Amino acid sequence: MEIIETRTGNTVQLSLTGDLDIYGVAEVYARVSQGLDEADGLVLDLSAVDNIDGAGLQLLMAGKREAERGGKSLQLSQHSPCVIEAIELCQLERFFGDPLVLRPVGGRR
Amino acid sequence: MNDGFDWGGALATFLEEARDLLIQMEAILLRLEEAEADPEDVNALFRAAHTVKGSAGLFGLDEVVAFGHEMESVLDRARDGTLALSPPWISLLIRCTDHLGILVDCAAESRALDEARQAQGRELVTALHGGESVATPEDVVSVQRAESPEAAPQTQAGRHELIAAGDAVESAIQSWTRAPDPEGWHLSLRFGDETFRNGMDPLSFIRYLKSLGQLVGVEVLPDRIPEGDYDPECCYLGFEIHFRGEVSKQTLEDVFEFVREDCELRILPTASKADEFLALLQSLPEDDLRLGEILVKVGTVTERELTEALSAQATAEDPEPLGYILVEQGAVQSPIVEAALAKQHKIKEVKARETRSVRVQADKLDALIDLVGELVIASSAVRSLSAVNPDSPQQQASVEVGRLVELIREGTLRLRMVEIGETFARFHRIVRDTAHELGKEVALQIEGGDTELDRTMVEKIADPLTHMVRNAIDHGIEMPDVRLARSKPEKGTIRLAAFHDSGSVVIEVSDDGAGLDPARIRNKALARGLITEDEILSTHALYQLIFEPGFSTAEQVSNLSGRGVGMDVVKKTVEGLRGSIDIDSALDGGTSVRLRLPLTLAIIDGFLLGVGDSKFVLPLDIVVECIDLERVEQRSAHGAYVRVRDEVIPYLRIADFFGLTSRDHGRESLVVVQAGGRRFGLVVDDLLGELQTVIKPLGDLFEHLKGISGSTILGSGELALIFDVAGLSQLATQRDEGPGLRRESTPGGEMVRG
Repeated sequence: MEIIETRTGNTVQLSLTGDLDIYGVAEVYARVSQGLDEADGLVLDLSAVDNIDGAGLQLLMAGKREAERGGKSLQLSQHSPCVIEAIELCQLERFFGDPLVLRPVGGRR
Repeated sequence: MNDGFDWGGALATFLEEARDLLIQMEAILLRLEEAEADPEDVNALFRAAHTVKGSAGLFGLDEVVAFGHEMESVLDRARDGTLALSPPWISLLIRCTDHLGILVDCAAESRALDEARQAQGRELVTALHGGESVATPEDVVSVQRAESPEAAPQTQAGRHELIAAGDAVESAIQSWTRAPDPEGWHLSLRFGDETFRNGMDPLSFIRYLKSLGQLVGVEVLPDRIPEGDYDPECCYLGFEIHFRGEVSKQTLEDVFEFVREDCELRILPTASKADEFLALLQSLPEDDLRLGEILVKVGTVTERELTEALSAQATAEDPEPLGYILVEQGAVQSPIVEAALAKQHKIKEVKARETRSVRVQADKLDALIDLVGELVIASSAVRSLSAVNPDSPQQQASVEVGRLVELIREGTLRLRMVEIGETFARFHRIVRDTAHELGKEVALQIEGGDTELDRTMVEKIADPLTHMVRNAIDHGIEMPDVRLARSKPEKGTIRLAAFHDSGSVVIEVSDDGAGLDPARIRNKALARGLITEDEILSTHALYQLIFEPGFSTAEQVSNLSGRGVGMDVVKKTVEGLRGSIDIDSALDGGTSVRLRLPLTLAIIDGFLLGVGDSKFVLPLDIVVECIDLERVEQRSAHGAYVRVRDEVIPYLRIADFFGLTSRDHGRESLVVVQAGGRRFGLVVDDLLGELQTVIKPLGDLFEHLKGISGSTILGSGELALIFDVAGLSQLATQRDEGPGLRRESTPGGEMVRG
């Protein structure tokens, strides 16, 4: 898992590359946690996420809740297809509330 | 498959399990072919197919999943009774099981399926869809004709089959016959903390669930995610899922089979009437509550009703499950009991999984057995040392140690014993296929499948047995018309039997076929130059000729047997195992080939004998009695026979046989031994008592020594030789055989009388 951090004003953007799974969640969580401490808003760029599992999804949920508790915002952006699939599978679109780029085919049944 | 989780190991386990399941499926199908479908069998078949498919899904073995799914759909219909498993269906399913096995093998070697096999797969799928190759109207009609007199319910199912040709009609039929729960199911899932760390991904289960039907609503519960101390590798996820699909509850439970220990799973039919009650029941803590207690706790039954039901269960001769009794007594309604049972079943299942079995590598086990062997020797040394000082605490301790060592020895050896039934079960398929190929009708009877013998032995005799069974079908069983002409039942019978007999295992392959024709064997043997014109052989000796290399009695060489390879290989293998082989036959009455194998346990209970300064060991369980030789009437002038209680038995004088100097104290003992259904005696100088011995194999140099099968080291450090009882029996009794046998066996030692 590769994480690239960019700051724009009071917002931190983390670009995640690779597999967002059980093997990488500890590292990502540390960075998300730190980002939420240091900035008011956190954006996760998921465009280069190749794979996401339950642990990855749980991490996104935990981050979202943590941000809300601290009165901050966590935004998911540029979901890669696998992330969209996982979110749709679990019907978590509303939980995250981020705009999803609709795919031409597929979606929910 | 290159991430951190041990996919290789998990995949190996999957493959092993899948193959086991495929064997099970095959066995069930073969059984169904013989008898009327038992719902439990059909269920088991479905579960096996489902498990193979489900676990293949976890490993992304798409071809296995796709094909497994097709089989599963058919089996599902068989299970809920909308499809009768008629012989053509069973045949098809057997072929499908084979194909699934090929797919699993391909997955194992991660190679692609070749074109021919792919085509075969497509053909099978078409057939499974009710294509022409199975459910042509002709087929169904003929099936009906065969079954109609006694099988009324199947006739209706047969009609379904008829319709099955048209896919559209079929699905319409299905939708009313299967009567799925219209409202679907509610699944409540709570994954355990360790789920992720155990290599399980909740998403993959949800994904799999989705493949079975429709996820109407999914609610992921983030509630358990802690506010502080969040451990990202710990699983806090819970799901509430409204699912709609034409599946059984069992199917849904099976989805989560691989995570069941890590997951709380509750499945409710959403249309359930007893909502409140169910909620209450399901919210009970997850411990091993017995059904009765569960029911009492939720107020469905009172204590009194439970006690009554329990006593009814206890007094009934064939105890019915408690649930039935309660329903019978009108105490609870059946859906409620079912719900309680489902919960109990789940708890039980987890338990059963824990205790079922452990796979151990064979070499680890062998190493352990070796060590236990050394322990046995060491402990008998301790015992003989402490025997110097009787009544001392030391001796008491050593006796206790000896007793424990014996228990350990028995337990360890039992680990290596397997039931032969599993090997026998494979023959259903072999018999079926061989008989089909030859156009014969053959039934297989199995007896003594629970007879245990050493695992290595089982492996080594599997091939010889196959030869023998195929031989029996090919040469033994006649064509149906011939059988009818001989007023035998049209269908021949092959019987496989196993039993223990005085320290050895006997495996019999018998048939009710034509039997061996001594005259024909003799002519053949003459033609092959195996015997000469003037040689006179007993029938028994003639039979032995079929074990000669290059001998075949088949008039026509078929592609199965009859090439004269086989029986000689069988004999060699059996003798290599220190076993023996015998034939009984009656012309037109059938043939029975009997393999007698030692248990070949590394350790035996032995009986120690002394001759001169040498020590010998006999397996204790073949010793019938010991008699003072003086007191037995010597019948023959040559002393080769004695009469013991009106039975004349031959004997061998060990000292003479091995050329030892007998101790001249004038008191010789006769040890009467029972081996291979015969009794014979061994004359020795001293009887030295029982002991446990570890059999050490003889070196290559002594491999062909007659009469001795191994050696052992005594507690005193002395060497003792272990008698090869089968060999001795042959030597002691061969004098009353015809000259044929003498030709082929030359004693290793000098034979004084003969």
